[in-house]
Amino acid sequence: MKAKWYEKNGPEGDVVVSTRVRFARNLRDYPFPGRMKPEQEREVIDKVAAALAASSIGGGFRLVEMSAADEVARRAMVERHVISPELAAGKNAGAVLLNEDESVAVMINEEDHLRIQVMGAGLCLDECLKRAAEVDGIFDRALKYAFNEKLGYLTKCPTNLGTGMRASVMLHLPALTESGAIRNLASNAAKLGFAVRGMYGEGSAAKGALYQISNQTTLGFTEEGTVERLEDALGQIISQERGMRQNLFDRAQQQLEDRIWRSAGALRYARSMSTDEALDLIGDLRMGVSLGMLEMDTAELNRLLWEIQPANIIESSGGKDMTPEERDRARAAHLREILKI
Amino acid sequence: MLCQNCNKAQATCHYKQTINGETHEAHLCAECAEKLGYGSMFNFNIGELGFGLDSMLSHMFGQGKKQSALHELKCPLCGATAEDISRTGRVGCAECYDVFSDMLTPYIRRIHGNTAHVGRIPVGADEQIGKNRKIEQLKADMQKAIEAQEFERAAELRDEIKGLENNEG
Repeated sequence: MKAKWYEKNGPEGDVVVSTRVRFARNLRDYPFPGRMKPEQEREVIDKVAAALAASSIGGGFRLVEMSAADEVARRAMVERHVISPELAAGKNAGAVLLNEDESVAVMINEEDHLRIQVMGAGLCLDECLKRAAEVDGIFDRALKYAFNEKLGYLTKCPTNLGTGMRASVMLHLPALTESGAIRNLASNAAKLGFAVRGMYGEGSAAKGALYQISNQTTLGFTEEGTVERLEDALGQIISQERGMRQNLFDRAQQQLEDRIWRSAGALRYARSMSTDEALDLIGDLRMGVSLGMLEMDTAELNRLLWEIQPANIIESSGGKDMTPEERDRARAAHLREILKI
Repeated sequence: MLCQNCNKAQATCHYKQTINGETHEAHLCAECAEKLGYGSMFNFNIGELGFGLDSMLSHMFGQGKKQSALHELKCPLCGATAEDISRTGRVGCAECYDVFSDMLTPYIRRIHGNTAHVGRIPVGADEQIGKNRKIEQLKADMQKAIEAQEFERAAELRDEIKGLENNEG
């Protein structure tokens, strides 16, 4: 299997895990998903897939229809952020077009007809925006988008009107979390029109000190302008987190060192481990690497954030049905294999 | 005050957010705040919290004149009604934005502020935007002609509008 996009290192990787840009798009001549007849849902999937297949990059994509994917595969894709829980739930006949390293995913018949999504390692908003715009251009030339001069791209939910763009960056903020400064940061971000959420978006708790920050406003701003404002805010957050980590290091180096090596020990030797515990321990190692306490490839740690999720563990173990206990054992085995600390 | 989400427990968590200079508030019980991802973090989604469109619609439905007109409105492309949109907070199709424009415009302003799209536009949209502007102008002219009781002129304009609308796309 080809390496996934998250198996690489990216800019500002000590704090920024990944970047994601998505465009919501709809076809003018079809009701939005949820109001289409089954034959219309089929037509939309076929038209979108054909448009991409006919383009110069089409050969690198595969079409995965939700009806043809089993539940584990769907859940695993949700965990890898390739599809949304809504698409996986299969209320509408939906599908996803995926490239080889899964950095580009086009969801079909999710909340909108198309959700074009580009992901990358570390902080890479400009690159993701550029790639998303390229893919958008392919569909734009082949299909008729629903668009209104004043409201922009017409979306099923009025909150996405305008650019239909959500730029989202996943951050690892252990020091800001521990100091409690994360609360101020989140409310300041909200004032600037950004939302701060847990790793799995709306309603998810911030496990392993992983947060997603994304733009909330889509109308009245250009895509580039939104990305610039987000980058400005991120610049401040990143330097605050680094400052706090250094502060923690200066004040309590020995305790910190002890904790990080204990985490390394548990990851290296445990025989059973829950997802939450693994996320916390991996977070400790990420921080340890950034403070020069241990030498490891951050990309190796980042890939684990996805690979240790429950459905991905089941998938990589080749199992169909696993009890939580079996998963915890398989998770510990996978961690031992990857982290030969 | 009762929790806005469950309407059962006492609201003990109060949140405030300003987007584009407009302030939105949420009043929730601890359980719902946790469930909706408030907590130590700020997480805000107007649509999902169900205020905004819902309260606005019940307000509109509850107040006289617009009530019956809104009730009768149905989107010719997708069949969505005002109630469908109000219940789900979602629109049925691209056409709905025209059909329910009166109802949606104040809601959209509350989310985004009084603003217009400035981002990317689709290829060929320039041409279409030009055509739409022309249609809008012709409609305004037709209205004037009707008011001036120049019915022949109004009929000509109506046919011209129809012609433009029909070969659209």
